[in-house]
Amino acid sequence: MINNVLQYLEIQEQKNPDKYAILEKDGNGFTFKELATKAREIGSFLAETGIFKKAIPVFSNQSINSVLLFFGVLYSGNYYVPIDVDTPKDRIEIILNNCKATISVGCEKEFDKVEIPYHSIDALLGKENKELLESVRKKHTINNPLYMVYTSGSTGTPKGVIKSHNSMISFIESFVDTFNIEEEIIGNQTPFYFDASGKDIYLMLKTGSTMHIVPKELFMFPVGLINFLNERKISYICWVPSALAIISQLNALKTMTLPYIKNVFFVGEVMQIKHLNYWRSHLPEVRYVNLYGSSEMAGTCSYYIVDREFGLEEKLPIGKPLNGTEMFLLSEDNKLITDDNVGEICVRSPLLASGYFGDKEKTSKVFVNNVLNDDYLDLMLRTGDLGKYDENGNIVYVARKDYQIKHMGHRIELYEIETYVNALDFIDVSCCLYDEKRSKIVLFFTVTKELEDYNKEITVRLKQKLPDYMIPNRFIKIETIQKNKNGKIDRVLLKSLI
Amino acid sequence: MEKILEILKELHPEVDFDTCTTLIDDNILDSLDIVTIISELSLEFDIEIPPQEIIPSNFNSAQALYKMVEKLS
Repeated sequence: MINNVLQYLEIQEQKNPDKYAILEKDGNGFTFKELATKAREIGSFLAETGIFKKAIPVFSNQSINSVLLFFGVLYSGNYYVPIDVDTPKDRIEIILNNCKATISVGCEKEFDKVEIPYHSIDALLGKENKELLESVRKKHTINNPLYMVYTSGSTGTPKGVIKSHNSMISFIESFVDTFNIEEEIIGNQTPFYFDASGKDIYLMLKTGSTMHIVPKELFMFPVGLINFLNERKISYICWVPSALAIISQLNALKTMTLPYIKNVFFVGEVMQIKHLNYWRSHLPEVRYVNLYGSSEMAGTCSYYIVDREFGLEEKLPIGKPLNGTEMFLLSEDNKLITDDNVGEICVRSPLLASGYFGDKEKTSKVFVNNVLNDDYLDLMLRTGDLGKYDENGNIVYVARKDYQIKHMGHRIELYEIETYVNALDFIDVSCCLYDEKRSKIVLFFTVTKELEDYNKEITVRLKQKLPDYMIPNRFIKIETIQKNKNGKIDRVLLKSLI
Repeated sequence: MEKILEILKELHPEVDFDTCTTLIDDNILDSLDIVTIISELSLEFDIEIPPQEIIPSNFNSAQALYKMVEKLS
């Protein structure tokens, strides 16, 4: 029985030792054997520090070494917390304090943004301590944490969602089963510090497929991107819709084609029909799958295989649950919805996460006992997403219950951006809204002081605090921000000004 | 040229587009910016920018963008 994801790696090490597991653009790569061997060396180093079942931050970039470090951390019996190397220092500090890390690792030789000890990959490689790794493995249970990712939190503090080996094993087994995936050539787009990359990494491990890292800069230049996908014979991609949209927005399939692509999966935000239609008209033989999930689970929980033409005004369903997962809709008063009313999407499945790190209160609000079952322990996730059934019994996503948005594949609490904007000395009141049509974060603000260039000042100052994807795309300075009758900022009114 | 600068300024108020010639080389523009620039240029100047023109050298500076727009107009 698989109770540790490293067993997948060890199976591939036996079955496909000399096959490439992961490759970069210039041909650098690790075979399954190399990946496993080096990961055991790193794991030995980390295990020798005596740390066990703790969070180890991995400062990651889009390289094969990031993935190697993840497995190295796992061999040591700890779990990894992937963090983008370019994250501002302040934010790193908040995350490290929250996860109580005492040691960190990363791809860069030197890294000056952390106070705790930092080890680069070169320092970690060395000798395997077989006995120690065996004893670590003996103490393992399937419920142990696998990794934790930080998402934007409503109070201005990022929150860590922690996932177990069990959740990822349950996800990948049911994913492969649902879609009948055997062996693919994976074109990885999602960065490794991003939760969604877990789907690529563990699909590679489970199926023994080679994963090619698509260089980020190619997403600006369509001819190069298509050439890359064809040279590497990429057959499977699971990208955020904005990445797929780049191909259609730049009309890249006008003169070129993608003969090897068989599976196009998309996840992380709503796929616009016009882009889907572009892809389908140019590559009609491909299987297109809309995936739905949230940070509170490993991978995704539902899917819709696109089986017909959609009109521009239609919404693509998020579909039906993966094999082995149940989803249903609950009304405001916790009644099961069976008609076409809107309700909160709830999930029962072994792929659910283990909650928010260090936040029992928030965890107990989101991960609850199935409200339809009073008789025994029965974990259920309240996604906070609203959905409804279409005439074929597919769930269609309607909106977020609160103001959380999805932007460029990232989940963002608009409040968090406001928190930092409001902290600026020349700002009086601010309000962030999302322009879904243009995919732009719009910032409304009033000021207390005259400045020459507000947009520039806000951008520069926010960049010290927030990742780039959270920086507003449009700035609107206004005289007053109206309150509604509850004394809250009138977001509806502001939205009408966009 | 002014219109091009305006489009760029809206995307990145913190950058001096009059002088910068390394917009791509220094990772100032990302893929979403490129898409926005292309769609706004297409609308503003009523041109179609073919995939073959979407290469780093055409996007490194406001001047290079201006030249490309002139060529395609």
